[in-house]
Amino acid sequence: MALVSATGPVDAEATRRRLPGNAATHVALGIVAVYVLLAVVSPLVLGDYISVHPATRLKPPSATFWFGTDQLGRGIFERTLVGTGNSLLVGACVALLATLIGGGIGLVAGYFRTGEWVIMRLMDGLMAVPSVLLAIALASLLGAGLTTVIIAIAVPEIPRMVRLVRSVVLALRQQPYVLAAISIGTRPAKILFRHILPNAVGALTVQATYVCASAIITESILSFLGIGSTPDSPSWGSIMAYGRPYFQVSPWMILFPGVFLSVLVLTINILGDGLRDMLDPRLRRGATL
Amino acid sequence: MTAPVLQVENLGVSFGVEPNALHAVREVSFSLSAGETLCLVGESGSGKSVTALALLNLLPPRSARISASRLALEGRSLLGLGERELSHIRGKAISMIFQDPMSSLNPALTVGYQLAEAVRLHGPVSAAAARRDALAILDKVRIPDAARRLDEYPHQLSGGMRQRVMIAMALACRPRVLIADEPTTALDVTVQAQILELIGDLKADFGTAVLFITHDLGVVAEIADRVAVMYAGRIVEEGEVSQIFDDPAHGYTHGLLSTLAVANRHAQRLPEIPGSTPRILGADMGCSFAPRCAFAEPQCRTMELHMAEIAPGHVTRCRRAAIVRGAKSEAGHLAHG
Amino acid sequence: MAETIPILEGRDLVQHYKVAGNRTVQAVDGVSLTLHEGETLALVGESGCGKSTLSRLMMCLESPTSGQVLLEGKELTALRPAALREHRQRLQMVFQDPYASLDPRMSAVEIVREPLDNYGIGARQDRNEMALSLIRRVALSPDYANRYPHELSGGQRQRLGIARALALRPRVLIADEPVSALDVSIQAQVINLLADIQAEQRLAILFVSHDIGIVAHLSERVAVMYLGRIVESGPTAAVLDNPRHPYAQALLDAVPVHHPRLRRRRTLVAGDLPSPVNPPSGCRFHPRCPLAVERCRSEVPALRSLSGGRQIACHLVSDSNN
Repeated sequence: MALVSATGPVDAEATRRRLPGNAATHVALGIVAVYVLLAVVSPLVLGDYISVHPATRLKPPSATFWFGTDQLGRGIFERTLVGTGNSLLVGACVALLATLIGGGIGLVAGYFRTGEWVIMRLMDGLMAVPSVLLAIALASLLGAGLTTVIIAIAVPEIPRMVRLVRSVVLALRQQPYVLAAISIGTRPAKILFRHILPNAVGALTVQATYVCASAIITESILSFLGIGSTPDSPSWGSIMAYGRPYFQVSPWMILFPGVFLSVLVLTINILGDGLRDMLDPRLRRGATL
Repeated sequence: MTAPVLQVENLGVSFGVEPNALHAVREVSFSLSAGETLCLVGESGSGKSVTALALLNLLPPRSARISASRLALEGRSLLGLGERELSHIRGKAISMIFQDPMSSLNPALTVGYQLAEAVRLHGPVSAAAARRDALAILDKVRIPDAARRLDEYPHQLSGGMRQRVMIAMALACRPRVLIADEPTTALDVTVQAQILELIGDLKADFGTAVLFITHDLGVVAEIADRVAVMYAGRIVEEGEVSQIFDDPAHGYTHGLLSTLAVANRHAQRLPEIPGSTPRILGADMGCSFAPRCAFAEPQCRTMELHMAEIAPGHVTRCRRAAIVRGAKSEAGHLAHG
Repeated sequence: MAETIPILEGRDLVQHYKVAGNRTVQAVDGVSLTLHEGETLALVGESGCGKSTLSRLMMCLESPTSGQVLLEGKELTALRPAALREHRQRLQMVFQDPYASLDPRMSAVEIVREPLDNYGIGARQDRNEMALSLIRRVALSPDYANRYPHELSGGQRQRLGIARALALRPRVLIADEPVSALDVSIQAQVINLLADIQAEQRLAILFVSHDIGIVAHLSERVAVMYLGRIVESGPTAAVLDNPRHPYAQALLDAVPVHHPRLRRRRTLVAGDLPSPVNPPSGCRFHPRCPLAVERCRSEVPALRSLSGGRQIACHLVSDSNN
């Protein structure tokens, strides 16, 4: 590295550094939008994905069956696309539930610190409950179905959200601008909603997207185990479960829903990081050093 | 006049890409003689720290672009040297101490280990000898109970003590040049006074040339032999410390000296410099300080700037130097009174 | 002046924090001070001397371990939060870090408007105009009203902090190192602004600072703190020109000169500030004090009054050996 350096690599580097965060977020946003569109549209426009056609069972991908067929002769393409809705719905509902309930508890525990010890020990207890076991227990109580899945996944996610939000709030309430708000007579509720919550939104969003992504995976696991959706509403997990015995001869049954699942989870994680930056006013507007 | 130890001509540092590049340092030239203390004075964003980092090539290589027409240590050019050769010069011929001594010390290693490492870096000595040297250096920087401190970790020392350790490490190889970047800014005044005295004594003992970077004119008044005032990436005035304090010849220097609160103790109001320090440094014409300057005329904003010598060793970039010199500063008056 | 009720008073304030290892930080240890209408009292000391903790105690941002804070004779430390809130209007604060003390998600006008909203001052539709006039009062251009803190310079941010503190027309302003984060050329602007506002509104200011130069310029009285206690106080000129406590002498002697001609060899006080976790017995300055005698090690010196409104906490100084 000489002291008088060339211009080439410097320029390229600087340009690259200015772009990527935003570009990646936009691409991720686009991919999620496509998934949502697929989830809404495919059940309406795609043909039959429920009835059994023994004549065309276990066909490899072709012009007729784009993703091949399963052991009952149903199109993997149709079933995978329709399964998108299932995954997105579970992901979104769990993220929403965990954020609202966990975020709320965390906010109160972190700011008012009343009953904090009891709340946190309760959360530690909840966190120890494995979602798969909880789902099995709930399924035997309430019967298998989407609601059961959502509750079972959301419950162990809530304490994680509580812990995160509480630690963020604990840090924020020490900020000088919160002290300043107290000194100008701002009431506690307003401090919480005006000064602390908006500044915790970034962390909340990131955590919510991670919860969403992991809920989608857990949902697949539950469906794979047969606790999740019913056969007439296909889910990526159940498609893969059916494909398991045939993996040696018909890998497409696992490959296509697996790829859809991986891409979605990856995209949501990227989106989370991007959203955090977009929600930070210091990064949003052209900061003047 | 002895031959300069360090010579810098036309140093420039920019970040980013034209036309949006940030010119943090522009046309900076100075030289430093053995046993001399040059204070680089400026406010945040003036480019004083970037200048120091550029001298040692410590700026992030992928974003910073450094240029200079001459950069020489004891007559030997540092331009175009590879990282290996530079790292040999850093620490041995040129050492640097920073504002925050905690972040420059490894928290996981004892003070003695880090000092011994610095000693052994520049000559093969046995572990026992290195430890002996380390102890001697700690004594030199007047750390009480030095033998015990050798086995302590940085977090067990106070801020002033850590800065002493940093100075000890910097001096372990008897460098020709010591670059001190705001070394006392994080310290309290009683500790600052100790450290300033220490640097002064060590300079006298070793004949080290010191480039002292600070924003504090009081510190400058205490230790400088020569002063270079920086504003918006450029040196705007340079001279002997007495020339700068008694006969400021740049609107900015004049303004800075007159805002010194100590000197204005009995004044009703402190003299102000209006406006704020510029943050974005683009390519510009004229004097960057003109918009805030009490002596400026319209041409100051448009005319090309040149360094002009107004007395032996006293140079200024100010077009209105004659008028500025006519208006004596408060600080000068009070010191005489 | 001593006859009137002080506008703000701290009585025997103690603040001890429990820290890891069952140890106690004695941040503030028995400090009393009074502030009268229109007066500026400077609190000086080095980092760790407890001056910032004391300012938060006086501001009722934390509750003291013991002791009282009184505003116009009313004990604030005895009030419940809701009642305390009613009194806060008259006691306002300017913070050290102008960036961190402004909510990054609020625009300049929202920041200044918030205290007006909190206390329902003025008609709702007039408050933006009131906030704008406060912004103008601190010599900020109204063009900045819709900018966010990160879009302002350090000096502009601190002006905004001052505008927010003035919105409630307080009687007392506590300023905790309000210019130490600013560039030298900007400090004078902010100091002058504070002085103008004080003269205009007869504000009492508790000015916390480590900068002796600014203190000398701005304050009428000064209190020097060391390790959680006041060691000397009195009229600013008297204390700064002729400090009597050995620590005050050492502190003032260490202040850099303002002209190279005034350079001198100093008799430097040895060592650093000890930790407030386990402060020295007796007089807390005794391990560093060149004059310390046996009594200083064992007996805590009380803050005694000398002539000329001065007070000192040192066994070795009496009014006679002036």
